Amino acid sequence: MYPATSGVASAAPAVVSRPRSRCCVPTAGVTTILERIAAGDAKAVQECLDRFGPLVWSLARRAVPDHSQAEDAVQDIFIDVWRSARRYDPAVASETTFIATIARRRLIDRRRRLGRRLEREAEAEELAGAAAAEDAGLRGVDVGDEARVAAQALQQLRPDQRRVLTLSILGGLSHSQIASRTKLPIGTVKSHLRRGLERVRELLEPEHRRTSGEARR
Amino acid sequence: MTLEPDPVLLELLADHALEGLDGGRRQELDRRLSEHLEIDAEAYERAAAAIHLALLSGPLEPLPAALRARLEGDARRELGPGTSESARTRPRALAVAWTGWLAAAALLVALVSLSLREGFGTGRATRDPAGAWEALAKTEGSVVKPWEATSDPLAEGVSGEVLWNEREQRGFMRFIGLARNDPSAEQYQLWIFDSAREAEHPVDGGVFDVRGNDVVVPIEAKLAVYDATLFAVTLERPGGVVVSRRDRLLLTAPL
Repeated sequence: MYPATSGVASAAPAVVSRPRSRCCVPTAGVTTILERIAAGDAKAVQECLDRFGPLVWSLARRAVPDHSQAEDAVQDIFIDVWRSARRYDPAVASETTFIATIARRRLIDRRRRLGRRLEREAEAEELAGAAAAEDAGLRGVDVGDEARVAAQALQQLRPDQRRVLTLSILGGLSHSQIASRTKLPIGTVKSHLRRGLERVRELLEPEHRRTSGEARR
Repeated sequence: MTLEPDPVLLELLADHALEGLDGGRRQELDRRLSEHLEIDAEAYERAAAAIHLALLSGPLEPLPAALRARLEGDARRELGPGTSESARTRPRALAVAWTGWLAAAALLVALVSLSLREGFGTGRATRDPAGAWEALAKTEGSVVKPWEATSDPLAEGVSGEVLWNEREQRGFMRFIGLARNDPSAEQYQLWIFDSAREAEHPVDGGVFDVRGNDVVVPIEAKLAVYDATLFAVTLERPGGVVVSRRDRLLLTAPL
């Protein structure tokens, strides 16, 4: 089912098991911004916008070229963040990854509604993205331990696998568009994508168990 | 205990994380997830987000100030009084709250002085009011509400609507049958109640004149409106007032 690929730890995906509950992770002492928002702390909203607003806005601007539509997208994303704050579990993900996950979900929904994909941007970003993976992330923001783990995982992949992931995740191209662009069979594209995701997921699990405890000390 | 992965479920989860699913495949994903409660449905989405963060490059763009103000308004609405320092009063209570305006006079003097310097109260005409109304009415997020006349004799037989778009922070008022005014003697003034602000401090929506039987007047809110709940028109002295005495309340339009 999954073609043999060098640099990937397992030939078949592990079960994507539910994350460990918060009870297994040290939680005393520090409360996250999202936990404070869920508790009704008005100051935490400001802190959230200070810390994550530029990241969400930058994600939206790259995914939605029209300025006013990008603003609408950011509003949708943060409404989802406010509503989802009480679901946030620091034992499962960092706040950066939690918010980026919501942002991606809303931007994918919007892209599907509009029926547009960003091929030209994908081209422009492809090389930049590969370079960024080497120095682990954005300038001017702490992308978090999970992004650093993901960058390391990307470096373990073959160039064609990394390219497929970049075109999909950064460029928003469909599987068939990636197959057309890379001249790879669509089955190979899908397996590259799934293996890449699975590899990062595997690495994130122990990473987060370790870092979530550290973050609270 | 070893659990066997469902390959179709994993494929659906991966596709969901990468490019979203259409209705049928989304239903299939939900069905299969309901049969595999041990599965973390968001694990691949988190992995994709981490990869996305790792691939991004370059400096971040700061949030535009106007967008940030809207996000703060959204937060107040979504998260309730705990994250808002303002009362979340509804329209009926707001109308009653007008009696508190006198107490707020001193606080508003500075704002009105600033507004006067910026051309407050001119009631600027729109070159193509019908076209401007139609264009805004088609914009996502626009709402249209009818005016309700009070018992004031000047309001008798008056109709029309108010058109407002909070995202755009723009709007228009249409009046049919509202009496022409003598600007040297009196002018109309709009007030916008906002649940994100204290009820005693409605936003000044501008002073305007009426020179026809069927007129469209642009709304000129002097402050950002986050959650409009009530529009109200009063008759005031030329140039408008800081605090309305409410003795000539003509029209209201609850949202």
